Amino acid sequence: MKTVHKIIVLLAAILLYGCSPDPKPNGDQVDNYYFVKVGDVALPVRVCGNINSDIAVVFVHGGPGGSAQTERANVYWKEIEKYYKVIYWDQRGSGLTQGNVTSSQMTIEQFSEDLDNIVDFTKQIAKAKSIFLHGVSWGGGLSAYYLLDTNHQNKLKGAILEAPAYDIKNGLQFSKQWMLGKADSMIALNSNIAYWQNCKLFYAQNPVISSKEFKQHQAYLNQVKGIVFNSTNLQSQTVSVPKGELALVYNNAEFAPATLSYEGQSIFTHLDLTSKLNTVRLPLLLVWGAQDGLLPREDLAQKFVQSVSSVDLLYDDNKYQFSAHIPHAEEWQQFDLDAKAFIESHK
Amino acid sequence: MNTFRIYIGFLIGFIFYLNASAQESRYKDLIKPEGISSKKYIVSMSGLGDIEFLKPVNINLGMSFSAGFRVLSKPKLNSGKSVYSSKVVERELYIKPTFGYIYRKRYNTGLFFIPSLAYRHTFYKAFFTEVSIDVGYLYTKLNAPTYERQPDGTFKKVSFGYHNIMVGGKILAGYDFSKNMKTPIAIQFGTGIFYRYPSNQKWIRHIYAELGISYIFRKIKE
Repeated sequence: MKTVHKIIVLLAAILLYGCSPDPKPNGDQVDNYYFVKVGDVALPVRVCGNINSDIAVVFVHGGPGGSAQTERANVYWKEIEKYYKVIYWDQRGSGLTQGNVTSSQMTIEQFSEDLDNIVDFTKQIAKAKSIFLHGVSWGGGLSAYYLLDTNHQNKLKGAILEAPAYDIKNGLQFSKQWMLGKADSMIALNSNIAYWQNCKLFYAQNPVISSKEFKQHQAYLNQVKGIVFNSTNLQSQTVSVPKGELALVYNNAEFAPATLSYEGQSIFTHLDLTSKLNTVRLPLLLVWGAQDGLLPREDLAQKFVQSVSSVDLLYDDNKYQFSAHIPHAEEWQQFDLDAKAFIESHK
Repeated sequence: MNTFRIYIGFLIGFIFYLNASAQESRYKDLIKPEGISSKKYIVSMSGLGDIEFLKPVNINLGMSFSAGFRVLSKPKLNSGKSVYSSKVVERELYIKPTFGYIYRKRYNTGLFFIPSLAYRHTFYKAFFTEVSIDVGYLYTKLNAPTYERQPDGTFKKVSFGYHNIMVGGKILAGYDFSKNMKTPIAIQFGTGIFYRYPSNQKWIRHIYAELGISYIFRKIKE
């Protein structure tokens, strides 16, 4: 019977362990977790950072189909959280968002409505008076769409847009040309010629990069550091993450790119906000890595600058020379300085 | 080749027939398997570990409680060294209504009810294996404060969760102390898989491990 008693004690210990609370954050830091329900969808929202700050940065993750819940591990946020609150949320059909979303709900219009819920939530529940968006890649494209509405702009103090995917339709064509140029360079260097000829064949057979070809396109870009260039400077910190379902994260990473639409068509082949950007008057910090192969800077950054009507647009094309698509991870020290300066001057 | 197969098949069939005939005619004084059957109910409590194969491996813990009602029993009587030291192998079919939960910090708590159908095979040395098919209901309650924007723009705290279908199965192994009628306890461990639906019209797979203890009620039939 002693064995039986031991088993009962072990089971009780397992039960107690399962109910252990999350560790309290230190000092003046907050780490609260919420869900924002929009219709039948539960968007996970994590509020971290300086508990005394009434300034919040809402991080809009990329992908599409990515997650903001692991983003906090990026050491860039450690410095930002010292001064401000940071809101990490997952978009619908993405990351750890729960619900049974249909393809018809996966529209940029609906995503913008979700983001508006998060902004209002940040003001009311996270007690922030000044709110800034920080959108990366697809998140930058979504942020740009959100800003097309003047009412939305009025809720914000500014936006940090990092390689924003405001024109995916043409951007992916530029990206394809960029990649073909790299393939030619690799062939000229006699480096794995068969592989790079196969790469060129892929683009010849798939002249338009849709959601189906996007994964392979990213794989080629990764071979020539077109997404992350300055990998030696990447630094991460240990953070806890929600105990979500891994299978759901994988499913969402496939589901969101395959279903996301703009005006009824796939964002990969139809999203181009260029002609509408002139309604954006909000202060903006635009950051674009010089080595970006996914959304090449030389083709897209200047076009964005010329299209918006921001009252204060900060963009310096001499910066971020060693970054590709994710400067806040690749050159996080510089990004910390620029983001803080922007927020402080517009709070 | 076909003739050879037919021959082997016939031979095996004949051996079985002879064996059965011998048992019937030689050991008439032995009790028949039907005569040793008894009423048997099982109450079980198990710890669950829902496993995510990440690095490091992420285990989400839970508990399950079940009652087992035997609906079919077909004991098998094997002879021991002596014809009078019989070895009884229990072959049983149970319906096992099971309640339980799996706790996922900052995500959801899954509360489930499964009326499992289980086959248990208890060897004469009291070790057993069990295979079950599970079809049930899973409610995933959100595991953090949940807010919803109201028409007036304010946010209100709400209670919310999702209804799911749960389909799966598991395999257990254990030791039944009650087999020798001394301690009405059994311990078991095993692994299982279940899928929940829907999540964006897809099934979400879960793999889990289970470690449990059972109280076994046995009563010899009058």
